[in-house]
Amino acid sequence: MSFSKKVLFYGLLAALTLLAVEGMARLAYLAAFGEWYGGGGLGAADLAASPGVEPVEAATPLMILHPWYSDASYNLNLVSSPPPPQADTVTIGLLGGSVADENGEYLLRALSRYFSANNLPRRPVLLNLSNPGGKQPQQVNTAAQHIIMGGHFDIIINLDGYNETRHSNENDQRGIFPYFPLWTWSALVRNSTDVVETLVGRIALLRAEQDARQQATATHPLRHTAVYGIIHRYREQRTGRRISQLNHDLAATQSAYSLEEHGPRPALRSEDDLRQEDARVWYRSSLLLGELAELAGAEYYHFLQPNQYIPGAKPLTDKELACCWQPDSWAGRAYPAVHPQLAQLGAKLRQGSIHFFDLSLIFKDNRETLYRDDCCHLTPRGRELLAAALVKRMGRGLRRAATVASPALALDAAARPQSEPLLVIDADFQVYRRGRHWLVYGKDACTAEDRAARFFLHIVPVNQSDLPSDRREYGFDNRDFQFGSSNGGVIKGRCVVEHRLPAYAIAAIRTGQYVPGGDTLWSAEYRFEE
Amino acid sequence: MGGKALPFIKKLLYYGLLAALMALAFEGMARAAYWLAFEEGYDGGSWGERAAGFTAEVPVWNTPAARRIRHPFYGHTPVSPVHSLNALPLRGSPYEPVVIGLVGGSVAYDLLPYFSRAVHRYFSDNGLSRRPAVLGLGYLSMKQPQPVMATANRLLLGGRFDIIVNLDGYNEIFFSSRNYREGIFPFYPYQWSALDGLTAEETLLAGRIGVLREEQEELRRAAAHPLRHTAVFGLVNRYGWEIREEQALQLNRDLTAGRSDYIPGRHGPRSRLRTEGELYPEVGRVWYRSSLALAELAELAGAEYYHFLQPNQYVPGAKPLTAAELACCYTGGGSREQIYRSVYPDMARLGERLRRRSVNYFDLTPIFKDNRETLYGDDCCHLNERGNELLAAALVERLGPALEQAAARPVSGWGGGARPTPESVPEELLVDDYFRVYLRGGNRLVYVREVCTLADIKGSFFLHIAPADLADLPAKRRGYGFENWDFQFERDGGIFNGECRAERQLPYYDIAAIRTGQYIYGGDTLWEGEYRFEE
Repeated sequence: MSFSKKVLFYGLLAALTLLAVEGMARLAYLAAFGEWYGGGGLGAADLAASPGVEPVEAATPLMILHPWYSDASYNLNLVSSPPPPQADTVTIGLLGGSVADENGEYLLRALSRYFSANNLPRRPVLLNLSNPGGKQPQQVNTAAQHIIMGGHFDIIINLDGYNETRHSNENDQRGIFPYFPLWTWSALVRNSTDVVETLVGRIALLRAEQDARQQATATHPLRHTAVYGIIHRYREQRTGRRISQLNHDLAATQSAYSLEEHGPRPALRSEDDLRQEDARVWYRSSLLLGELAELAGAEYYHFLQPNQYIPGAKPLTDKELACCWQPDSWAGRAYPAVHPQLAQLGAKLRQGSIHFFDLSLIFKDNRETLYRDDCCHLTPRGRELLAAALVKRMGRGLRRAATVASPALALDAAARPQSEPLLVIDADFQVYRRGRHWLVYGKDACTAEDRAARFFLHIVPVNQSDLPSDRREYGFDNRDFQFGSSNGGVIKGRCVVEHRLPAYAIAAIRTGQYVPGGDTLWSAEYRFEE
Repeated sequence: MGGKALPFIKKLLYYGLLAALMALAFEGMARAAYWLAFEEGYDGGSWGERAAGFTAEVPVWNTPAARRIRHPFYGHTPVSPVHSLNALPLRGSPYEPVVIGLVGGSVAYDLLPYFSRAVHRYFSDNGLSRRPAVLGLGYLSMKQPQPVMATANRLLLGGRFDIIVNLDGYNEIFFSSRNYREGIFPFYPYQWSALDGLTAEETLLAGRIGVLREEQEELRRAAAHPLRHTAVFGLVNRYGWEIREEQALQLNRDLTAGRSDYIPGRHGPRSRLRTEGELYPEVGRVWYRSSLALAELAELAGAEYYHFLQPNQYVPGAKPLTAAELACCYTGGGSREQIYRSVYPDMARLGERLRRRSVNYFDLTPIFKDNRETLYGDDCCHLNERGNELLAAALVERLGPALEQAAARPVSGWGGGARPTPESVPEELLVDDYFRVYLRGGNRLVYVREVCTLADIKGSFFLHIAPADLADLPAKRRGYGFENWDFQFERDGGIFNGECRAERQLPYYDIAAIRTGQYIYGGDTLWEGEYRFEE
């Protein structure tokens, strides 16, 4: 044979061999993967990890870890040093979750309008310290941190209520302590241990190698051949199995209880127990905030946020019914049951002289579309109205803060008035004031009759507006009480009973004991000096 | 030429010998190379066993925090679930003790048992009617405002205090300075950056370290291969391991070095302070404001608040140091002394201001000024046993009136009517020993020790249950006549307001008797008791 014929012959032979190999490879591909090789490399779906294990490494939340409020990702004010106080401003701190956060700019506009309309001499500065997803005690810790670091507030606003109940329930469902932060905290700490991070890193490396190979495949000259495809796909499957195995290892590290991730194990036994405790934690947190505000010389306002699921809260529009009404969701099912407990304790906050307002019903006659999702978040119009409602209720506090010399850094002042030790003498009971908050009644050699008679306690505030509306006509608050095991005791024959005072400024108290029939066993009055 | 060819067998022998000689030469050279490379003779692969502990060396990013875990509201907390910082407040105790919370750092933590004993002695000596329960809320390296946050957290969970005692001062100074030097916000918890996780880039580095470690582990296991007796195999194997070790350490160094780059979650707010000198007055102010915040929280809760500035050997004139103390516990002219002396005068001045603001504040720095015993235990501030006893006595001396008043006061929860309803008093006392064991509701055992520390719940608790009908026992237990329901106290209970309490559900079958008690390490029993249920 001539040389050219030989070349042709062997060329044909080689081509036929290659075609046969390619043909067999395509058949093998079909047999192995149940589909014909499509050429052009492999798609992302082909490269997915082996089924059976959720790729947990993707669940690590991006968070700015914070020692006092766990996550500061959504509000960098939380990882900033407090701004120094200025003489010509009124500093208003805004605390709460996402509803508060979204309301920030609307509130500032409403405040500015109010200051301008009332010709107030200082200008408002809003310090938005709210944190989407945040819930108590994050607001308490935020205020404490700000004050201790030398920050200044004239007014502290807390707009909350929903996350405190919703997220505690969600935590509980996930086996996390209800009064830990939202479950993302748990995901973060779970995924940031040495072992887990190493596993996640290895998976990330394998995924990065996969991505690099996939990019190379897209332009590889042999990508149309099934021989190349079958080798590539087997290699990717092996990588997928490796990733899957690592994910298995990862999952194995995450199933057990850990104190860091799940928090203490609560003794609550039912959803009803949980709801009651939610309300109590919310209530106590508000008392703590009130105390911190007082320490800083600020006014504290606590608002229970609006919510569409509270009966009678709002006539919902068609649009709202479509977007924002899920009666079978937790909010639809459970929040209406929690709300009365919050409202009841809110009323108690008012008695304790916290400026508390339940805003649940502020939209009850409004027929506009104000809600934008099935949780509680508002449209811009809804936010405007909410901001106006907040400002309206803070009017007196705003005017006072804008006109009274700033108590900036009242905390650093050298002294505060001593509390009066003894208020009432020459009565059957001696009455003392312990700290600012407690009245203590004591009587030596007391009898069962002394304990049986009902105590009356009438409190006259400095500002009549501090009284509940139904008490203003009388000019005093009625805090009558009975001696009992929860507030009193007998020690060595001496009866002692304590009663908590409201936190508003008190002008005078009148106290004593009734005898059956309505007469008084004893009574005394004490006027506090200005 | 044309020599006669060697017979096949001789050829085989010849080449075999040649190969053996070459193998021996290789082995010899490999042994020499091994000796040169690793400065030890090759001993057949035992290095693999020695290398088994390498994982303890790296990764490094979390190791300084080994005795702490993160807490979402006060930075970090002990790993023990029964430490008072982690245990939930007691839901109403039938004993209603006078609750004294002790907050602070490691000095307060060390002092807890001494303080608790001194308080109990005071109650006993003065015939006070109620019992005290001292709640330790202090822990290693804690500093303000951590105690404020921890106290607030306990209160909002419904905790009750009669007295809150704050013993602090050193960590606020020294660890704020250390944080500042490490680029961490000074008023964040100490070494906060060590508690943060990794960024995405750092996670890749950790992953590379993980891959290298896995390969090393395979090489280490291969050191037990039958070929391990040859140094050629050992040399290649170990060299592969060492290369990876070096690479892993380098990656680890990169990881550690990269962690000093500013990240908000790791380093906190950027400080406005330009020099460390500017930090010192701020340390005093933060300490002062934290004390006021604690006083305010105490007042809200109806508790008395006492603040003590802890003793320290670096305060001029604080103590005539013994020779032993000079050797162990005093680094004159060092950074501790310099930093402490830079802040202490501010604290002393602000402490006086606290007193003017009605805070029960006491500067305890001079309490040892005339004492010539050895009282300090290290060059920080920690005390030996005698020192702790004296410090506890000093606290109780100053707390005396408050203790008496608290014991005479009625129990008052705080938070209005929200005080948790006490659970019903346990119905029937079954065992009265080191622990009291009650039967509640017919199907739960309640173990109670009223004044209690971690040491009291060490070891495991045994609980043997003998049924009325042996058929109720699992088949393998019938030969013994009882079922074994041993348990760990920490898992079924905890320390609540100084009281150890655990509950154990009983089986539903009819029970004839129980025998229960506590093992201590070594197999002895600390206590045990038996109760037979009547027919």
